[in-house]
Amino acid sequence: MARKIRSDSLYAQLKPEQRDLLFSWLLDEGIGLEEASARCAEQFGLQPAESSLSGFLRQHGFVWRMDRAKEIANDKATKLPKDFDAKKRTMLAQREFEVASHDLNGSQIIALQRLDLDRQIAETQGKIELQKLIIARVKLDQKTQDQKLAREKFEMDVAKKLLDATFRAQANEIANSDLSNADKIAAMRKAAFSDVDELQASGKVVIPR
Amino acid sequence: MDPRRQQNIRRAILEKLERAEPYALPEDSLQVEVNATLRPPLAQAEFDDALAFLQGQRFVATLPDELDPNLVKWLITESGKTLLRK
Repeated sequence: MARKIRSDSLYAQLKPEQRDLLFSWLLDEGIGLEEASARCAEQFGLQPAESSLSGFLRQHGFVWRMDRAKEIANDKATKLPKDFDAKKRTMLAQREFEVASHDLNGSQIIALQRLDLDRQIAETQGKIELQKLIIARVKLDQKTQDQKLAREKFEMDVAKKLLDATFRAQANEIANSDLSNADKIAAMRKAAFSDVDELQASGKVVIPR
Repeated sequence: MDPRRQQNIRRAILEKLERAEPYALPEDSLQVEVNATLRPPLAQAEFDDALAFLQGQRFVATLPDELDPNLVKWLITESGKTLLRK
């Protein structure tokens, strides 16, 4: 249950950013109460008694450490690759939380290093996946380029055919024939792009002579 | 044990764990933090009894640590949070 904060308490007198700074001095830098009091006087314009600082730390230090540790752990967890194993993600975040909130013993540090290696491996795997995606994208770009080249070749072939007198004569014959429009198109395609005799041999289309 | 003190210890444990959630607090850290809020200082037996009671009632649970099985960490459960709000 949250305790009511006295209006004359050091906590109430400080702005949130000043509290952060004071916690940082006391808990991160580990400066003594006397020095903290002097810094408060210099930077905040108020000089709390050491007993006030001690009370401030005792009453609010835990909450500050927890909130900061959670923030750090959450931040680390969200920076892991999206496909990072969920169980390891949770374990790693938990370990980050412990590091940020408390000193670790030797075995915990080794465990953390192992987890960190896992993270690096996962990140490397993530990079490999990224490389695969890049290669896939390059291949797709290549395919698009190939299609473009094929179309240009097709257009070139058509242009050449149109310049060919023999083909033009065949085309005129097809156009003037009694074939249906669909058959004329099929015959024209065959005349332009495959052997005409082969088309006739198929019997599907009669090429007029 | 004085029932009021017993209640204070249990509440202090739940409050510390609630503040840490969704993360778990290692047992030694939890004990230090709870001790810091109590006068007279917390005896080991008091702490152990309170944790055993809260675990028995499923207000707290342990988080297994695969990398360090000897490290006991504690989490608050939904029931524990509900109890704390009452």
